[in-house]
Amino acid sequence: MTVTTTSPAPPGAEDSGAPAKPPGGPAWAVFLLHRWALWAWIAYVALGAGLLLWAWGPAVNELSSTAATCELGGRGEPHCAQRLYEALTSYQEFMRLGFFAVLGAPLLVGAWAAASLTAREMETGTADLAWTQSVPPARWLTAKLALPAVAVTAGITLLLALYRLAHHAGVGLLTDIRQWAPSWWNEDVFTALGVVMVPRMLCAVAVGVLLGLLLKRTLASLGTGLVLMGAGTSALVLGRRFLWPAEIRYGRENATASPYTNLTPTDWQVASGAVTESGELAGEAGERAAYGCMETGYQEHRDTFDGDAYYSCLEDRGYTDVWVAYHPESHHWPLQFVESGIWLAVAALAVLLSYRILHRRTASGERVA
Amino acid sequence: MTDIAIEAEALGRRYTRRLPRRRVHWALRECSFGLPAGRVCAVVGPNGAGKSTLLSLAAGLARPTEGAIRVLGKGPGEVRERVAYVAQGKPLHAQLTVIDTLRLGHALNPARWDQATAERIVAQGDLDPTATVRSLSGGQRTRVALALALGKRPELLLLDEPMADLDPLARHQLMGELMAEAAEHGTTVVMSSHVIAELEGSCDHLLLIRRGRVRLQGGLEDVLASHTLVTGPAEASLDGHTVIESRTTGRQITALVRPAGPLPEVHEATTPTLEELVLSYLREPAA
Repeated sequence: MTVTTTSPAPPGAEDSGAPAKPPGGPAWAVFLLHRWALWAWIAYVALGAGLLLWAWGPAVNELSSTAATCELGGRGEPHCAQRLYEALTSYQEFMRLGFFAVLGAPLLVGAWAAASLTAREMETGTADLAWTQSVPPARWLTAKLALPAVAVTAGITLLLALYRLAHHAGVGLLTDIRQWAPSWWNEDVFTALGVVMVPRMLCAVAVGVLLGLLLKRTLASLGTGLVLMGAGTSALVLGRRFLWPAEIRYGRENATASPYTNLTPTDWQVASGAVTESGELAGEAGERAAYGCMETGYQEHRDTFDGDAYYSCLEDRGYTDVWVAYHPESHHWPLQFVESGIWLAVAALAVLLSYRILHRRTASGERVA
Repeated sequence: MTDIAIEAEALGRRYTRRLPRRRVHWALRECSFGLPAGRVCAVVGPNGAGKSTLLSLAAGLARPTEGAIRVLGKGPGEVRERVAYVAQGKPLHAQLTVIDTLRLGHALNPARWDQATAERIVAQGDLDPTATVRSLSGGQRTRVALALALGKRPELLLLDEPMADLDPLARHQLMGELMAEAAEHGTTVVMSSHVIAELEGSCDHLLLIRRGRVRLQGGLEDVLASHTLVTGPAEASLDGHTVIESRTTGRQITALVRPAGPLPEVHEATTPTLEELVLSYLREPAA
């Protein structure tokens, strides 16, 4: 007699539809939890890229062909000015929208990171779930920081590259047609052609993660994240000129009442005024005095500038010279690096604090006495 | 392997509220106990007694303010792999499906994950694995949370009020499955509860906490055997015995005592049930 036994199916052989191999650890978990945010970010980048690609391709082509026909056919061709104006506006509009996509990204990312990366997990208690798995909490935090950092860096780099291409494709035509082009210190050029955006994005992620751990509330964290990123951006934009010592030019050495007339279009004038007898640079009051003496300087010879009369007038009012402060184009990279350094320092501080908070909240791997 | 699953020495945990007014509250204080491995241990006590604090300290989700806690012979942070914890609110990611929730468990416990066990727990619960956690009922959520915990194949399973929001039928069924899993793998279960009914018949070790301090601990049978529920005339003396709680009805007295020797013969003595024992300790006037 034979006995047939059916051996039980080995564990794991049951129909499961689940991956047989361990999926890739905490990074994969972060992807699983935040994939919708990733798709949203991809869509956002795609939208911005679309705008910039349109500016780079069709808009520039339209502008250059219109410019070419108008030059060839002469300005007399009907509607030429109108068509040129429209082509120019179209290009500039797409560039403007593309710039807004770049500028708005850190605010959006900061708000999302603050609300979603850690705050929601703290609020719903899923952080406790994550911190009691085999993967240590510190690695969980690393994944929460690193994956978004990679995603936002990749996205913003793409947008910046496209902005650069579109800018360089159109700036020559713009200069030809309007006799003007945005200078290096204009907000759009400085931000979108520089490096400050990447640290700003990283800071948005790091600060968001920290806020979530600190506040433990989604809405509070989201609001605070938005306010902080907005305030930080505004502060650095408004205070940018102080990030690197400006150069000063005086009126006497150039025999002029308005030293800024000696500045080139690439010099970024940031302040002006008059020099007091004690050698201090007076701003607004000095500016008023300098302006008041302008009439004296030009009074006797209407078309020429009488320096002696001008400066003796200034001396009567207690000033010895006039000055202008400006950033030459050579300050572009120093300004970029200082601003980037500030964002990175804040980001590093936020990361450090996040790890410390996590370390204090959870039992670490070290032995207990 | 050690014989003690959780060992606490003068364990204390203080919470400080800074706003609106500074307030210091000791959730646990001077707790010393040892919970044996391979048992099902009930941590009982009234709301706010410190049960959740104790479990989260064991799970490595907080640091002791004073004293020490050792889990499976090590610091709680060192044994995350071997311990599973289900918090009171059964936190799960609402947007994930049941399948994805198990995938998350797999991703975060790559070395230990037992997909078959996790799936079996889910499958026994008649729920759609492609449904999002958001759409599940309380009982189904608890089931998924338990599947996530058991899929880790823990040596120690910490459950904070696991059955609190379940109907009696679901509670009975889930408890049965849980006990079967624990028995099969020799898992130590430490479970807090204030529903004594769900502990009776499944627990064999008791830790009773009151106002942040350990009031009673030991093997269930020993604990029950060392107590006696006596009923007798009110004037008869119980001097010399430790009276935990007594109630007088007319001329009759009913008391839970820890006899120090033979009881007076005027009393009718019975062994208390777990429920009678626990309730007496909870009603016991504060020292």
